[in-house]
Amino acid sequence: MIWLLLSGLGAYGLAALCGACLRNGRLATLAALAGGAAFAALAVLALLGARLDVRLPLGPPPFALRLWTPPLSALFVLLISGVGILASVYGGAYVAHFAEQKRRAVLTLTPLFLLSMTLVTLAADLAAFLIAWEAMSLTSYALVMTDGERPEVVRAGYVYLVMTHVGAVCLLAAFLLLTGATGSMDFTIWAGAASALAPGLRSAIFVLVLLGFGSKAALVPLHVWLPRAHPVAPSHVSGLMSGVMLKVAVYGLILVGFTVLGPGPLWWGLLVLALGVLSSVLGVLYALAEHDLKRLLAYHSVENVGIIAMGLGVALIGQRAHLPLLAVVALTAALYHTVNHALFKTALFLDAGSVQYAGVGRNLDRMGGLLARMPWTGVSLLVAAASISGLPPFNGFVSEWLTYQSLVRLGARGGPLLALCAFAGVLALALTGGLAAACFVKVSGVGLLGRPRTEHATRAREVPPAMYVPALVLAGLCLGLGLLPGVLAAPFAALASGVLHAGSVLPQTATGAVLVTLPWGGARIGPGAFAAFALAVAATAALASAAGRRVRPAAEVRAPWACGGEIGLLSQYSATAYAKPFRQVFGLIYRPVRSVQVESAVHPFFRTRVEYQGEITPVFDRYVYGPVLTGVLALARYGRQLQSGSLRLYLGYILVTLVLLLTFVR
Amino acid sequence: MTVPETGLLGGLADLLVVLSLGLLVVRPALWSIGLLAAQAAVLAVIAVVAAPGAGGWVAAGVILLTKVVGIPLVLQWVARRTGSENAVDWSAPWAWLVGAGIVLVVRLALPTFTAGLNPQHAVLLGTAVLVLLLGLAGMVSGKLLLAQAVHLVVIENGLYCAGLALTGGLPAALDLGAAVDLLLVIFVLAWLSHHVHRLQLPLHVDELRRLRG
Amino acid sequence: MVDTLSLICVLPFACGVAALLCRRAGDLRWMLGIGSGTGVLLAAVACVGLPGAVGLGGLLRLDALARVLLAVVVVVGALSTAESFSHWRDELARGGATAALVGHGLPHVRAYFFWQQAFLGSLLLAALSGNLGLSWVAIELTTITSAVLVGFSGGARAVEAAWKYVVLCSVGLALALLTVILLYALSGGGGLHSLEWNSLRVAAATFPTGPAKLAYLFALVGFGTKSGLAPLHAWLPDAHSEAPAPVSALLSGVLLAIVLCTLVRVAGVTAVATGPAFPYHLLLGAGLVSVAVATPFLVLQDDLKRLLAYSSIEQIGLMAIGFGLHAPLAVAGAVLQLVVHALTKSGLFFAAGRLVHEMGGGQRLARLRGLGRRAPLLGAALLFGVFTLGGVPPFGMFFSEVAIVQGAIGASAGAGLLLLLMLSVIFAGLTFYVGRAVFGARRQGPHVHATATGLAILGLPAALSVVVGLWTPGVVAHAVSAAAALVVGGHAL
Repeated sequence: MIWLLLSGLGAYGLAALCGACLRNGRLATLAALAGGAAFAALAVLALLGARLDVRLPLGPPPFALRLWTPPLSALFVLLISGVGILASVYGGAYVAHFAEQKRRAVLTLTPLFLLSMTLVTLAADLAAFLIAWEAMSLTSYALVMTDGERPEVVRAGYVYLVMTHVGAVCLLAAFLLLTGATGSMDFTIWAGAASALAPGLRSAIFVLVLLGFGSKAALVPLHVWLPRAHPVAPSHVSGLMSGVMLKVAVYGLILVGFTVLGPGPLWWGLLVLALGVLSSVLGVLYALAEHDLKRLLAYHSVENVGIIAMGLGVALIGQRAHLPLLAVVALTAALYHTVNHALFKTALFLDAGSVQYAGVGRNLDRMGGLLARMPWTGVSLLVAAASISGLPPFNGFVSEWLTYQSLVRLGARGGPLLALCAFAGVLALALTGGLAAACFVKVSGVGLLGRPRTEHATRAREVPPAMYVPALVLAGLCLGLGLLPGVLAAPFAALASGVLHAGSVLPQTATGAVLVTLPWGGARIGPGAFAAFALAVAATAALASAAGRRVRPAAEVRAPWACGGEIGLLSQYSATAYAKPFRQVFGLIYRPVRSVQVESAVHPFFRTRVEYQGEITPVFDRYVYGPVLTGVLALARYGRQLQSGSLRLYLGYILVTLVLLLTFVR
Repeated sequence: MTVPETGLLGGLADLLVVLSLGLLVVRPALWSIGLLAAQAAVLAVIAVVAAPGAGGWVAAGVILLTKVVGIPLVLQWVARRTGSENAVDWSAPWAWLVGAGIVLVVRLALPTFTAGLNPQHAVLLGTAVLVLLLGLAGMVSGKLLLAQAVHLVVIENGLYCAGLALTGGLPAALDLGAAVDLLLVIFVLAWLSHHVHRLQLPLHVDELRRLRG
Repeated sequence: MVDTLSLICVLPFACGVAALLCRRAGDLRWMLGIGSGTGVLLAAVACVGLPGAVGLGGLLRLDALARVLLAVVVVVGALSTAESFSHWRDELARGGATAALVGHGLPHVRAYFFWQQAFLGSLLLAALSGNLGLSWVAIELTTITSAVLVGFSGGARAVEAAWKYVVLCSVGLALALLTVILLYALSGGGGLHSLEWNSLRVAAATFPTGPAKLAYLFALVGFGTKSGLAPLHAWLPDAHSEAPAPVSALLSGVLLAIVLCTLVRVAGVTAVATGPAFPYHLLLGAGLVSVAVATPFLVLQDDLKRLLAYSSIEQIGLMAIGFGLHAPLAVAGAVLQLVVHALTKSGLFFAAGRLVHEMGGGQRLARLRGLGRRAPLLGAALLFGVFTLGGVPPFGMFFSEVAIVQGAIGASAGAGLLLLLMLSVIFAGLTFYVGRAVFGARRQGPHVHATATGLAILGLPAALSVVVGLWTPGVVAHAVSAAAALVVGGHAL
């Protein structure tokens, strides 16, 4: 075990070194793969029962850096390393078209980013956790700043840095409160002692932890950094940030919220549930209004983190309300969705990167017809889109179904208040699922189908195999985990009951490889059957269509009538147009602002030029963060008058201080 | 404050304070410098009274030589040179108010801090603190560089008062160190004022305000 | 009389005088190189081999705290001397404001080195002093020598800064002299040796409470002025921003810390007489006020060196909080913070000084953009320094800040959280300006290549700060905890 740890550390370090020093990036990629493999092996061994518990000699005496591998950590290490390997393969090819300096920076920082995420999940005490956590934040910040000469990137990076630092400070505060109360910095001791703390202190710690991890996981309203920072990073890094780094925050929330703080008051769970609802609905709504593919995907991360948070919230409520079964199922749902989101979101970002690599850019309204030109990328994009929309037989369906089930069960077993909350949760989840599907219809319809809207899209070619294969592997995993849900559901349920200390509950949760049966009546799915059914329908339809084609005469192709105007490639149905009804229906939330400028000659009917600009109001920037920033700056401006340049004033400070001290200090 | 067995010393101490207050009020430079010399003279008397014997007389002689004669002459020369003998905006008009406030506050607060000392020491320590603070107040209110220099000497006088009264003379090494330091400070200030003169910077304190924020 | 400690203190003065006699720039380089090297060597020997050594007839004493300070002064001093050569080479080559005003050439540089070495010597005296009287004299000496350096360029801003510096610090130290007089009187007179820290501590048991408190208040205001505790800090941003960069490094990294340690020693004496609550709570309060006062100036700032100066006020405030908490962990944190801050801040000032020369844009933050591409070394140094100052792991200040904040939260959760809030705002301010300077659109201008000396001078403090602060090898950890034990427990080592 220890050798695996050391070789993983060494390999990632070597990868960073090679990335920094060598012109050729291949060695760096290989070393990063080795590092990922070592940590993946470590995680597998840990999941099989081996234990690792080491202290690193760093820092002054009372501090220690302890690493361990409980099953929960091992699961996340496996996730990080697995996705990390695929992203590294992709990244090695993706950075080939970067300028020398940027390529080196990306190849150096990516392994360090992966390593720090791994270490966060392995950390077993305050110092180790915070060091790894901030290293993760800083490396990702540096990666976001890859295109640092563009002012909007500088701004995005700054917002990210500050939000993440404030989050880390909240974590530090929570951990120090725990340290002060328990007299130790070790997670094991916290877990034992935290339940005896004063309720007020525990709640304060919980709120701080929620702020800290929530800002990293991008729960609304702490999400504002995400749609800024993720799109500007290199695509495989965006994938890692969205797919994996947010999950590290989920890990932290599970670790501290469940294992350390244990069952808390009811409002903890309700708060998390409410944040989940808010995040999922607003995330998907903002995604729908977005036409920059990577920003759209970033907003979907907010949505999916919201779904995970809903599962966590129900689990917290279940733990409190002595419904261990419910808690286990809800936590299982959260874990399952965590893994799923890592898979399909990374795939989606990799595909978006491939599209960018092919020279098409990020704007959906400049794509079109990509499925024909980039078939592999297109297929993986389609599969991932179906998964994220929660369609069977893909994996998103399974975890969303589990979340539904836990919500419904909460409604059935909790009191009237909880029933109401559960009902709201079910509604929100349904709305989210529908809108997500609509959004990905937009992505695949506008981006993949139709005809190319621009010259660049016409010239797009399939990317090298090193880039589309990782995305295909991820897509395959999405399908596999959808067809065989029991493969993960059973171990996750075991893990969840371990985390929740609900050991005896597990045997009642029956799962097979193909079928998941929950411990309450009638709750059972096997997406495989769906798949078989869908396959059968599809096959029938295909046969019928083929038969029909043989019967019908060949179609005649003619130019369409365009009201006397010219029809161009841009005349196709666009993403903006697709989103318009949603913009109108949800106008209350979007607060859309639009301006149409018409230039006409002779008569208003003869338009020479129409300029349309539409955008939605950034509600959180304007109404939440704007006033805070204004307030801080106003205070600072006020405070700066202290140093007005007058020597007499400065002497006056000394005099007043002295007189005040003499007067009031005894 | 004045208790019987500190009669003479108490009176002298009060005189020191009154002179400091006077320094806060008077306007023309030459009057200030005169009051400064008078204060130093009182200090010399205190030296003789507080530390009887040869040591006291030596200290008084040193004070007479430097503070009553030397420093006032130098200051007067500088005042002539810079043409600020009859400057109108020598110091802020509210200075006396601040001074009175300080006297009041310190008189009320000091008993706590001098508890446990013998009465003579208590009185002189209180006076020293007051003179220090009044000197500081004078620096705050002084609008010309020269006014600030005068009040820096007042602060110095307060320290002397404390040193004479409480210790009957500091260790020679410390005295020497302090004296060398004082000389060097004067040297540095002279060097700087040479620059001020060369750069034609204002001699008005309030106008030295390039650096702020 | 010739013992190692006095030798260490006298060496820089000798070098300064020798510098005045040098005929050529090459001689100057050789002489100062050998002098600094010898100084570092002697200090290393003293730190490792002579714990508790006494020098100059008992005036100098190498106790655990002095050992840490000695190491810091010697390292930063040597770096500052080395950087001074680059500074003057650039200053003379580019014919900057200085050259236009005072005429350039060797005499000017010789005078600079005389004062710089004298400043270093007085810092060493103050660091090694085992006697309150000597400490006062040495600190006053640092004011004089460094004031000349602050005003050295002779420009209007520099002269103004130096003037304010001399006036404010002279007043402050005059107030501190009352402390010396009072403590001397209370300890019953009897010669210079009664002002030794150890004798004072012993004698303090019999001090009446009132005068002891009075003495401490004057020390707090007096030494507080000199060490930059708010609201007595007003000279600091001016002096730090106008001094030549190598001097700013010494001022900010070393001088403030030494004076703070002197104040802490006075607090230790007072604590014997009045109980620990009185002196340490005041120190704690002063620290909190300092952090609070520095915050707005770090959020809105338009001058790089002033930004760094206000960050020094914040850092000194943090150290004061650590010392004021008076718990072993927090005090150890403060000592570690002191060391790492000295290293980090000197690196930052060196980088800022080079920036002013090499980018030609002055110190105005608004004009600094795109350093990452134009001068990668300077950009990296700035970013590194700022992240270190923010207490972000994996950089050097993480453990020390956590230790201090841990103590603060333990003492009062509300105050601790407020402190954390202010630290986050400060971090946001620092990273805003430095991030914008390092990244951001590239301005027209030549590409600045990193030289080997530049790499050494900027890289060494950075590397040391990580080694000391994050890795903290056993020797360092032991030295720090011994210093903390001295401060907390009061027993001499």
